[in-house]
Amino acid sequence: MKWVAVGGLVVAAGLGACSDGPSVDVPPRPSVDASDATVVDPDGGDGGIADGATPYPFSLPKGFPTPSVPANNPLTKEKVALGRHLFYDKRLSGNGTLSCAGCHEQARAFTDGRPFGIGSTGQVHRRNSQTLANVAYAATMTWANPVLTTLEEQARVPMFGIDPIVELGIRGKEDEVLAALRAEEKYSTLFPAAFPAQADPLTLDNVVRALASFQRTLISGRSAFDRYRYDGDANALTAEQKRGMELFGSETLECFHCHGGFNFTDAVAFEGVPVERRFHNTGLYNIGGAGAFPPGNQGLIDFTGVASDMGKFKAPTLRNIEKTAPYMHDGSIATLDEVLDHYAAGGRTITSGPYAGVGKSNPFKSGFIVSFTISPEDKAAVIAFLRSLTDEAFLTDPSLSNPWPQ
Amino acid sequence: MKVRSAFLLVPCAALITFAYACSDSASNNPPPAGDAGSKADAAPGVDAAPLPDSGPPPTVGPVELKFEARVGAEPFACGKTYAGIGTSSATAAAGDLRFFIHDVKLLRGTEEVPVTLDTRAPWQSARLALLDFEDKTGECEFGTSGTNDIVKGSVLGTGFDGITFKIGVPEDLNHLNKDLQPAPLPGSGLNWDWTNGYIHIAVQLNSMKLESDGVARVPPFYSHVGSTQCSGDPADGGTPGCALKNRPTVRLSGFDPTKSKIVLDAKKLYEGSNIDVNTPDTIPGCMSSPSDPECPPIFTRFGLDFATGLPKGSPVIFSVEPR
Ligand code: HEC
Ligand code: HEC
Repeated sequence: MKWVAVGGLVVAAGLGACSDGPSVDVPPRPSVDASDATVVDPDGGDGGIADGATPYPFSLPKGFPTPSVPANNPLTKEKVALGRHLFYDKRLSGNGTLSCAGCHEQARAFTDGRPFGIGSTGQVHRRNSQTLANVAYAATMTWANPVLTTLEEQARVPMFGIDPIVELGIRGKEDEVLAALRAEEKYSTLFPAAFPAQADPLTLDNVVRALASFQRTLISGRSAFDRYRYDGDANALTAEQKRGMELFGSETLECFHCHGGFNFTDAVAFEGVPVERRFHNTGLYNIGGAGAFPPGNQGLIDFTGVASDMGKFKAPTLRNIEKTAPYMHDGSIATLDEVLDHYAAGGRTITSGPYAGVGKSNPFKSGFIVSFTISPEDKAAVIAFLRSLTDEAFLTDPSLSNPWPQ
Repeated sequence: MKVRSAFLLVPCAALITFAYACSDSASNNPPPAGDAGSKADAAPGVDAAPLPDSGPPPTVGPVELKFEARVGAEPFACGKTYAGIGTSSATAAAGDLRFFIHDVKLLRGTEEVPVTLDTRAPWQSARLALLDFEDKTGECEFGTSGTNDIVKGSVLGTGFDGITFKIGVPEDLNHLNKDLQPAPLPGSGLNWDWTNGYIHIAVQLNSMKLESDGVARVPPFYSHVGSTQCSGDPADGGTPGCALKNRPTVRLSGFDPTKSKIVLDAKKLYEGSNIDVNTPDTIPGCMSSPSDPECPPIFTRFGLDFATGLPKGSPVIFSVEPR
């Protein structure tokens, strides 16, 4: 993959629109302004698949396109196996108390059931832990960062980040963490198997490559909806769920504009489809009537500084949505019932307190958040449909579970 | 769906040069002279280009069709605002302007010569091209960063004086799994859901007028034309199909691909609409709903009969100008 800086934005030029090489007459264009133009290959590169490593064969559900994998970190079975061990390993934190899985639990579709993630030192994250289901297709990573486009770059955030909070807290403790990993017998075979061409493969760069590789295998596409849509099982959905599906796809509810396609989000990228940075303001807040979101957590504007980016966040996948409560970037909606109330009202109204305001009139709200009237039966049908996106096989898949003896 | 696409896509791609092999079954276009659709054994293109009386036989050469999008005299561009739009003479910001075309033919007198489309990701497949004048900046929220104002292909012969094409995604491509189709479908962002297929053409201007609260703007005036009254989910044993096809047919004379361009004027689309107001409890603007009062004037200007969804004259928003 080539990394080019365009107008201050780092754009992955190897993907999608540009996959056709020279015949593309439109250069990638930044959708937001940012300062500090830099040209980076965030990952150095692991070259091709080394001798002795086995390419990982994606076994994708029907209807799923092929995820893009950066050329400098080809997917191998050995890296996936190593990444799985690291993902569940608390030694991958500054004080040995927290692993990635601490905020991303398989049974909850790799979320944590809390409004906000809680870091290794007890600090509370400003945002809700995101599902990692089908994260291999995420066009951009996290709730509202337009330049974080690979799992490799993203893994460094919880590992080393201190701003906004300490998550795993490895910064400044790199040597201790590496020593702890070195002391584990299993890693003395897992690292060399994953990086057979390297003399001393136990490095944090390789930790990042392996974590990204494991996360690319978190594919969720075996829900009742998938059995209905792709496996020819017309009875996999109930009549109520089928009606809910129609409502979901209707121009009255407009859900599919932002939650469309195989992954129920417009923020996807894959082989042949370029990274498009899509963020929307759904009218969750309107503090003071001028459109503001709670300070410190205002979405894309925090990154770009552009006034109209106020309150814009990435539309999450709705796969396994039943399991990933509470909802929204700040976990501020507890149930799917209330989520539908929010959309039906065309934005949430908060009547009192510091965040009071009528979300419906947020001047930066997306044009597709329109109020609608929905009967209790129809609302129940939409929720029944959303529940059909739960993929039990994914939530209990042994190959994605904690590999360490408990 | 695998079976359906393998069965339908391949023969249609192979037959694209037959004038009507892949066209909408319900199109009410008058059949061109020498309609190849009825004699499937004709050699590609032969029917459409009789040899001239003298001189060398015509050869297949490259052709480029240039498009331009404007609002009145000004170019359409995200981030720009335009005055004098619609019956209320509103000021409005660019919001979207994209459309698919297929069944492209160049005209020479009464002859219709099919254009074979190049395969050119992300904009063209052999069946379909996407014209895209928004770059996702400004108020073009649902757009894509790339833009495309050209269609490339090849055609037999020279000396053309007109063009015809259909707007939209052909019926047999309209209801497949979008994420597994070749470009331009998966990345277009113009999909509705499975049963309803794609938005054939999207034009959007956002009025700057404020709601009565004095803060929020009135909703954008969407003009999304796609097939409606659709039913039939393949997963439920149905065959997707839409009663109202809503695919306009453009037919323009005086078009020479080497010297002319095709201009879409979004201002003309709104000449019969007030984009400052939307009927309460209906979708903002027109998204092709047969019951939406904002639709009829828009459909007329898209060259569609609102009641039947069939083409009715070439859309007035398209014209030919010198390059
Ligand atoms: C303290 C809890 C916590 C820990 C520990 C944690 N995460 Fe997260 N994760 C979050 C939160 C919160 C977000 C949303 C961050 C944001 O929007 O700023 C997130 C977002 C992500 C995303 C982006 C998903 C998407 O769809 O954009 C990925 C990928 C991810 N985490 C992977 C990891 C990995 C790998 C680790 C271990 C190295 C890890 N996380 C550790 C809480 C955590
Ligand atoms: C304009 C784009 C848009 C439309 C239309 C839309 N959504 Fe969303 N959706 C989003 C965004 C953006 C978020 C995250 C918002 C935030 O956290 O501030 C979201 C969040 C959600 C969530 C919570 C997800 C989570 O993991 O926390 C659910 C559930 C949801 N939407 C369902 C729906 C339904 C049902 C509809 C139709 C009634 C719908 N959405 C329409 C953009 C949209």
